[in-house]
Amino acid sequence: MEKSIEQIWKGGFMNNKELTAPKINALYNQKSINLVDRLINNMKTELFTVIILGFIIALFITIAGNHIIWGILLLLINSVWYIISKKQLKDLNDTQFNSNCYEYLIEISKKIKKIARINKRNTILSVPLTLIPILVYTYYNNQDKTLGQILGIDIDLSKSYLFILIPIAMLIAYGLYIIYLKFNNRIENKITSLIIDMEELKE
Amino acid sequence: MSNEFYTTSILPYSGIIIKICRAYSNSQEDFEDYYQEVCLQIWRSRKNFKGNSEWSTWIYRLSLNVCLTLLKKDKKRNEQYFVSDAFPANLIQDYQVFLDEDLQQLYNGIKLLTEIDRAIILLYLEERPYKEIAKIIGTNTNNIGVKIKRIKERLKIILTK
Repeated sequence: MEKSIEQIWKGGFMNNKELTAPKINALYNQKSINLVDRLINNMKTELFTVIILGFIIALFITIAGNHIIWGILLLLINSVWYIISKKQLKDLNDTQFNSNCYEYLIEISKKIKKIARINKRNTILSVPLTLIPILVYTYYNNQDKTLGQILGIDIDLSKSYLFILIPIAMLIAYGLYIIYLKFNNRIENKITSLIIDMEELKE
Repeated sequence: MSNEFYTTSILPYSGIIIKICRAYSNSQEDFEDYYQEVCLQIWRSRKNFKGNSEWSTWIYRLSLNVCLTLLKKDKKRNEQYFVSDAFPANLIQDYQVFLDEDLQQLYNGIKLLTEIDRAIILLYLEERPYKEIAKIIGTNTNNIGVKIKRIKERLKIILTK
């Protein structure tokens, strides 16, 4: 090459065609679609993890605890979670893009909030559904024992106090779900900020 | 972003943005994404422009920052393709955008440089003073002269291969 890089640079850009600006009207379309894809993929991974974990715990309780009924009970609750989550995923997947990414994201955001609301309620409800049969079973199979003897700790209380575990566990489940929402909302936050961006752009 | 802002504050400088985005992107699709993101960032950050430098200098700095950030994100996504700061040479060959063959070759060469070297040579070719380049890159003016000399030598070797 005989020309210097400075000459090539100057000469090359003499032709204005090299500097035609792309249109920027589709600014957020691909971004929105990618974000929602990521959200759905994350939900799929979480669903898979929950199902596997539930299955492992149920298996552990059945084998190690020798309580097949409890294992089946956990599997049942797990299956209900699976069915509900599958429906939620399908609902998200079915959201139509219709060339307007603002409306698309608003729709997705509404659905995410609804999913969070339903899942919070289900998380709390799952606790008594799981614990009541287990605690009732434990209560009637330990007629002459105290709470301390049942739990293997040094407490001298009537075994009726076993049922206190239900509200405590519900509170813990609620707290854990809130923490989960707080630390697992990156994509949701991005969707919200994208919506805010687009609203500002409309100004 | 209002049409007026785009037409008066971005479009007259779109040449600068295009040149930078072309140097950091490796497909037409990437280029358009980078260009759009730069325009958006200019609009978002417009209130941060205090008038301490020229609007074009500010656009240079912002465009480079946006491109470097996007490149980092892309690299994370495609780690298997990127082992160094520069684009893999085989990918560059397929991305022909300039009618002028020499310019295309020069761009291919620039893309083989590291990210910072690419920024320096782009600013140099745009005839920005060393002081301004140093300020944008965050180094001292003396270093810039030496750096440019080395980059030009490297480019010469790349282009004569």
